[in-house]
Amino acid sequence: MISKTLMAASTRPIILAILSRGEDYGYSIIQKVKDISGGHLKWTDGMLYPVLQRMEMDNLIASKWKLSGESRPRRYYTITDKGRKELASELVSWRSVWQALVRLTKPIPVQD
Amino acid sequence: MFDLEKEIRKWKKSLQKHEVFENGIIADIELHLRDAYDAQRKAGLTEEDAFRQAVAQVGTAESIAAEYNKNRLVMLNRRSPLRPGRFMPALVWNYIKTALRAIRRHKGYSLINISGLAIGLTVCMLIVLWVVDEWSFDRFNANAGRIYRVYRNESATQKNSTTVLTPPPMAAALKSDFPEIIKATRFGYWHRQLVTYKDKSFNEPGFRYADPDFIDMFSFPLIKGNPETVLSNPYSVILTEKTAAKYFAEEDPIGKILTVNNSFNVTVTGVIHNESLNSSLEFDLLSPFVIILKESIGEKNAENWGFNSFGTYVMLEQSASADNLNQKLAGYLKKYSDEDTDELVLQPLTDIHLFSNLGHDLRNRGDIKYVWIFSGLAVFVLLIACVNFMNLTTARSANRAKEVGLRKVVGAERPQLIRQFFGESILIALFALVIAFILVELLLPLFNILSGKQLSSSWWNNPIILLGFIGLALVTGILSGSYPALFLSSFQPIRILKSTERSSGANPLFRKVLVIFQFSLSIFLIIGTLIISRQLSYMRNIDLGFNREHIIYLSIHGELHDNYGSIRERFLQNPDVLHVTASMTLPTNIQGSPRNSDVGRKAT
Repeated sequence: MISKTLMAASTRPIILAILSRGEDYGYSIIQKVKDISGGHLKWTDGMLYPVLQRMEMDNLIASKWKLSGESRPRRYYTITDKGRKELASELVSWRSVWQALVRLTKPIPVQD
Repeated sequence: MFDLEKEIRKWKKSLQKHEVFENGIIADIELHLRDAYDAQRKAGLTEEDAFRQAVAQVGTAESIAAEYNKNRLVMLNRRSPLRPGRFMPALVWNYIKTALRAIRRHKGYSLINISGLAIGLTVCMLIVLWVVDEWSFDRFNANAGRIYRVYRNESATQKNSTTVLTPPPMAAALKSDFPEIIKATRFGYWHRQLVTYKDKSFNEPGFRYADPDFIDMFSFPLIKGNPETVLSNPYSVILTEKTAAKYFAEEDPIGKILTVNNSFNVTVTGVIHNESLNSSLEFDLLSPFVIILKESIGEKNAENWGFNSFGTYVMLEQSASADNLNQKLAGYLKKYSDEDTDELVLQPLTDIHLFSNLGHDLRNRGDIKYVWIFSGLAVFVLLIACVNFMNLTTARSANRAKEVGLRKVVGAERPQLIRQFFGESILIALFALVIAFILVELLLPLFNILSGKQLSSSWWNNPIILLGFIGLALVTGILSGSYPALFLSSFQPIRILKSTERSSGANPLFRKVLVIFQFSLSIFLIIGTLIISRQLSYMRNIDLGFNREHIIYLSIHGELHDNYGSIRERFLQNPDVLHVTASMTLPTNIQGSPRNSDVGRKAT
């Protein structure tokens, strides 16, 4: 079970990562998170939208409505240049945290 | 039976309870809900279960609203707070309308206010015209800054004594002794000359004499004649336009011969314009100086350094300094006249009219003291008008209080209101200016009689004066609007709009001070006027020791002088004439002018 704090901290980089692969809409983003994390990341669906709004306020993503014939109108989000930069720096941070954890939890080699 | 649409509407209603959910947000979430529902249905749930599952998946309205609220706070913090613009063009028309309405609604008050300012402005403008005229003396000369009058400082023999009278040889001597003096002229008076052309004879009080350099030094425009030669023939004369018209009417005056004192002739060589020019040197006819030597004082006096009877004017080189020359002039007179202890001093031409207080000075001078006194008077009168305006406006402030309250309630800030009221007072001042322009035009002839000046409406064409007057009105508007604007804009809307009682007016102390100031100034001016008018009426009515009624006098010169006996006889033959007598001067003006005699006659 992932803690609330870690969830909150990871939301934005995950959304940025998803959008960096192409534009997407809210419901689909939620599904992808569920699929990719194998169900470990359980977001309350409604909480996604305020986060998207906030990210749009910060100019990390942009949105526009699209009407396609077969289905409902959907608001598609795309990542901005600023968002890409943000994602890159987040990845550096996460990697260094991860590396630190890995190094610290390696078994200490026994010296003869 | 389960109705999806109805359930969604119900669910949406529960979202709408939260203020933060705008319609756009609800639409986002609703679409999500429908997608989730569809997915649940595909997974095989019943309609009702699928809906319930989807709603649970979306989450509670409270928690989502809380997140949106955080966003809203961030947004509010980021946005710069709302400020009304410095100047709102959209409101200008409203300001004008309000101002005009305030003027129209209170006609009597507006009349007093505007006419008060208009009268203040009129007085101020008339005085400004007078002051400008006084300042303009001699400044029409292109070389005014380089022309100096040479006067004698007689302090060595007599304390604080000076004279502008200098001897005939001085101008030429100065010019040859000092290279920085590039031009020099003498300027001579000669008492009334009888000038005759055919059957026309006039006693000319304005016959003057100058050297040929005069034409180059001073910028009197020569209308007819050749500036190179106009004064080169000793027996030539330049006439002013007015004098030329007097003798020759429409005829061309050039080449005509005038007879002076029935003894010698002069030929007209030029016509000059000087009527509209303010010059301390006045003349009607101008002849070469040598005529005086030949016809009056004798040519032997041309080199007489003791014959101090004429003015001397010099023009310096562009780069020369008058201070340096003044130092060089120390002891100069000794060079030509051993006994002469006087010192020569240069006086700027532009100082002659207002700043000169020398012995034997030109007549018709002004005095800088009067310029300051009248300027002060102008300021005082305008101040009274401004204070009057302030008092009237603040006293009536209650009428505008509601407007101020309302404007503040709908978002006007104090600076805006201040600007509005300043604008209003400027508008009123501009109204007053228009009236003042009309008044000045109407009063100018009367003012000319009072001041003895020839001011005309030509100031309309002088952009500096015109702009100055407009500026004066603007300053008046700002000055008189300052207190009302600050006061009116300070009203608290809640007090004005809540209470029915009327605001009691401005800071009572300040208004009392204003009223006292206004009244003391007015009383001071009224008392001053009364004293002056009493003094003038005393001068008119004082018992001079003789009966001034029925006495007339005329001055006699030249040949009349020698034939007084027969003139007297002829006068006495007239039955209206009781007595005839002659005196050297008028009994009211005994200070000597030995060549004139006066004939008095008494008529019944």
